[in-house]
Amino acid sequence: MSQCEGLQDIYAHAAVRGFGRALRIALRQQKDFSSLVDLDGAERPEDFAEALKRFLRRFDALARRRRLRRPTQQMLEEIAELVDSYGVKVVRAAIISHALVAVGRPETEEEVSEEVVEEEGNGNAN
Amino acid sequence: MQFAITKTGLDVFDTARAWGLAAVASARAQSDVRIRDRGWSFTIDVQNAHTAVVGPSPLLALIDATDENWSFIFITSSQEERKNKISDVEKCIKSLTNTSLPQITEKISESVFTSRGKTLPGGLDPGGFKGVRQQTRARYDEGQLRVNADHWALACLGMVLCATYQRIGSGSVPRTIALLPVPLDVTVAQWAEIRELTRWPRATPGTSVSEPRLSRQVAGSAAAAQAAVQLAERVRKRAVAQGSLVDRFSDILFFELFKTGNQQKPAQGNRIRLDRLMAMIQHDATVAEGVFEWLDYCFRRGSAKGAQDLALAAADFVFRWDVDSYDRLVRLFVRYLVTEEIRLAKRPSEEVIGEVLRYVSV
Repeated sequence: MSQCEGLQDIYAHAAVRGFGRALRIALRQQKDFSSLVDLDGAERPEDFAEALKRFLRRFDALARRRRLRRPTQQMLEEIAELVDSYGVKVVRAAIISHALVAVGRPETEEEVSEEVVEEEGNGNAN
Repeated sequence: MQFAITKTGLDVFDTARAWGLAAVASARAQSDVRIRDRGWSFTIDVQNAHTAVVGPSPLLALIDATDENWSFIFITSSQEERKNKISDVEKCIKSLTNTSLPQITEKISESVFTSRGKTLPGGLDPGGFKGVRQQTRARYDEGQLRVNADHWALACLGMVLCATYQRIGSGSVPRTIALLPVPLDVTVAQWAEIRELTRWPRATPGTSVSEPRLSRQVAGSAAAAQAAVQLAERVRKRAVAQGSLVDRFSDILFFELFKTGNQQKPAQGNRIRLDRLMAMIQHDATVAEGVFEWLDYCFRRGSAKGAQDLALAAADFVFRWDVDSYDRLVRLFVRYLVTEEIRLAKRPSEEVIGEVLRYVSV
């Protein structure tokens, strides 16, 4: 795991970025409110891991249908390590931060065009 | 030439006196005035003090008897009493006009608290209200807080020029919040600039829509936090124009007033620190613009009925800058995005959020 100093470093972490991007797409495309509620309610690392697992399960259907890149097993492990080091609140805040930002031009469906990539070669965290 | 305003512990009174003296000195000397917070005092440096002209000057234009701030400063007085008090302020300021700058130094070095002085109005500083300075127990016989007439006039002038009184809340009990920026190191070329820099325009039909103004918030803390963000944006614009961050504010002081049966009473009061917002401008003024725009949007959106939790979360964050408050704000913001109560165009950029996170304490 890389050395993180502040919330900004955690925000820039590749695993957080990967999960944040997936959450952003899920919220936009699927209105995945359930995952947001799950993440909101997670207080302990075990609850958070469970919430992420459920999110990935829901996201998997969308990713298969729209051929989106999914967070990898390695990313999930790195998230777990970050949670152990910094706690649930910090990692959750960093992931959700990615979910609220605008990538590229606003008002467009930029996520779909940007995120649609070939599924081959990408791992599945589930 | 340097003037010093020694702090008394009444924060609003002290800051208002500093602004008042800066305005008088600026109008007298017709030159740049630098106001600095030295911890135990505020110092006011006047350049070209030797060129100061005694006699009629733009100073009298400083006192606008029609300014609605007077009615809030003397909120506990009747209309007739208020008129007399404004006239007293005018007399004191006029007397300061007719004295030389060194004599002004002598005048303001006199003791601030005096039994024969003027009563400190509660609308100027909540410390002026009875029952706030000490325990009154069953007997309500606390005396009035009296201050030297010159200091009183300078404080009234500073408050009229630099404070903003804003209606808040939506209940049946009318509440007013008073906001006063505290200078850390501010240089102004003329007294009118002080007013432009520190006051917020009132939301009236004549006010331009593009002019940033405070939304009507439910909580005083949200109004103060929005004021902090908007003040930071003003400072940022000045920094961009000047090429570097020259002017700095340390805090915004605020206190609430509410009407009981037939009297005004003070409610909560506090200060909101601006150090992180100033540091953002210093670090990258361009990205800071995006940050201020996003936070201001949270306050504007949060002033609408049903979305007040967003404004409260944003206020909490601007006060604390910690993970808990940040976590709460982003979760609410995302929730509003998902329910389409916030348009996608209002999302901050990755760069903006990255900059915000730089200042969040973990």
